[in-house]
Amino acid sequence: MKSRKESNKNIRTIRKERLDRGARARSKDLYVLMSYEDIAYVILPRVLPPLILLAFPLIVRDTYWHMVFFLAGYYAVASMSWDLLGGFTGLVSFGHSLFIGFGGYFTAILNVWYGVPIWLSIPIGTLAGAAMGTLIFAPCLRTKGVYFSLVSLVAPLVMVGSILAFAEITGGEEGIYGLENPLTELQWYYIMAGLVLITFLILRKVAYSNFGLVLQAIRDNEPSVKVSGINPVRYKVTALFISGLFASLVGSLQAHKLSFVGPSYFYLSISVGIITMSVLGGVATIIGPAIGAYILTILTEWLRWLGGLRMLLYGVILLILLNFKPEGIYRYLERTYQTFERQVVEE
Amino acid sequence: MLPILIYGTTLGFTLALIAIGLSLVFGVARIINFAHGAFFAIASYTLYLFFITLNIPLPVSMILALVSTAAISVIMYIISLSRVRGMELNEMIITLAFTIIVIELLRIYFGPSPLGVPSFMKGGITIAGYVVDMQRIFIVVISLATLAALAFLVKKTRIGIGMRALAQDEDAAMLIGVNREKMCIISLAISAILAGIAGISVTPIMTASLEGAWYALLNGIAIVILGGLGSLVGSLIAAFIIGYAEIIIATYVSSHLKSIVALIFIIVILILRPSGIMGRHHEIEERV
Repeated sequence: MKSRKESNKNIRTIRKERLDRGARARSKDLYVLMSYEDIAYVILPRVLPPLILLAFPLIVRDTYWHMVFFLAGYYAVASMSWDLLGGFTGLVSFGHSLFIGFGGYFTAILNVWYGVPIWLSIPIGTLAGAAMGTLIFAPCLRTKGVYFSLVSLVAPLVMVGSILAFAEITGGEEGIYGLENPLTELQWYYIMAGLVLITFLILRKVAYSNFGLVLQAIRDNEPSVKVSGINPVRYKVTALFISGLFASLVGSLQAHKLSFVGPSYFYLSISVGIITMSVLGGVATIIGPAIGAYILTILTEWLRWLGGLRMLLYGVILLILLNFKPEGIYRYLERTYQTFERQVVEE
Repeated sequence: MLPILIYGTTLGFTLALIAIGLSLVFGVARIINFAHGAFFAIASYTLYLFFITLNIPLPVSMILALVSTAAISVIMYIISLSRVRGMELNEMIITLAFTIIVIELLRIYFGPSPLGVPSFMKGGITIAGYVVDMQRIFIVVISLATLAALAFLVKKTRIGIGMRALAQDEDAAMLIGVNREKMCIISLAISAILAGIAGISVTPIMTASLEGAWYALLNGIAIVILGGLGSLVGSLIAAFIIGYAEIIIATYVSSHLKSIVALIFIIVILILRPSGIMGRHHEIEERV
């Protein structure tokens, strides 16, 4: 025992020390303005990603990549809206594609069969889609989140069956073709990029407001919310509707862009993709799912030769992440950005 | 009328086996097992693998299929589910991810198209002028035997008593000395075997297909909600309600609308009586 102690004394151990890099800069005080370095430290991560997003078509002129980024934006908006439910409210939705599908179908029916112009069919279709999805999910919000997850998995699968059953309205397996699409790829890219930024700002505002605080309280301890005299069901329904609004809007945009809706809008692969992206980016961070969406969409596009193995990839990513790294990319980035490690010699 | 009764009864028994397993795992281990449908598909496909591809005699390949299904469920628990115990949301996502992985692997190995297995027994019995094939009789008999064995296991054996203790009060059961992890694994294996028996017995009728996994999961969920989460008797009753309802809808309206029955039942029961037909309300208030 003694010798061990002595030997320990003689060997100088090196350990890592982690220091907070931006304490002064993040103090939200005038100190931020003390040096350009601090200003850059605070501003760059907030300004650079949107700038890259907006400048991307100027750098890469290939329309193919504009389409990929449109798809990434589509998933980003959907997963950010998923995060408001799954991350902040504790209602894990396994069927977020229900909203996407409803948004797409309502828009298509309005535009193709009633001749409603595009600038009206998108908002009306979005509202109708979100309302319809909320109506289906609302009964399970009286009970705990488990019921919501169960029903949310069942509902889109059932909708695929009903689409085939009501083929005269929904077009059946072939779907509805011929939606109005007056915009070019580049215009769609900018619409989607703008939508991603606006969605992020709105959802972050919602999630960190008093309303979002109640949602987090519902996630952590619902009885205590009830005891405080707040009706959790009302808050959950509102959160569901807000979340559904964005998912439904994305579906309706996609319908107009592709000039087509079909049962594929309801497919489980979309819902699973949304969950995978959110978990990859970091649940309950709002921006995390968007990061995850861009990374995973570009990754799957890059691994196109995988073809039908995309779902397998999603499943494996989910399994590994949840077992070994549940914090997600965004929290990791944030941690490494705000701290730096250095090696300290211990005497 | 008679065909509806016969088809509804066989479907009801099959769904009962599926849903009781789901309910059992929720009651004992508090896991919402989204991988339950995968067990159903694994059993069908392994039966095909052993019986048709490897040409092993039927009884042996049935047992092999059940054993491999149970083994896969235990492996799933040990390698990933045991790490996230208690984190409900992660458990659900992991089991769903597991289902997807299993289905995609089955798709790679066996191909996307459904695979047929010949009937286990030829011929049929005439009941009131209507021929019932032996496969359906086989389903009813094997389901009744399984349910009786399960009832014996839950009511009489030490394992069953431990399970019921865990379902009633987790802390008190663990205080007395019930090994929770062991019980969770056993209940998961039993539920996988129940789903496997259902999968094996309907394979000659429904073929081994990937959609079968989602069908089993979807209906299992609907039945479990209708009967009350964690209530085995409730699941049994709800399975027959949904079984008959599906057959009636498929016969008189449209076979595409079959799946919508499940959703309508779920929504109606959640509006009228959220705890399910057999769920005890105060207990549900505590848990749900």
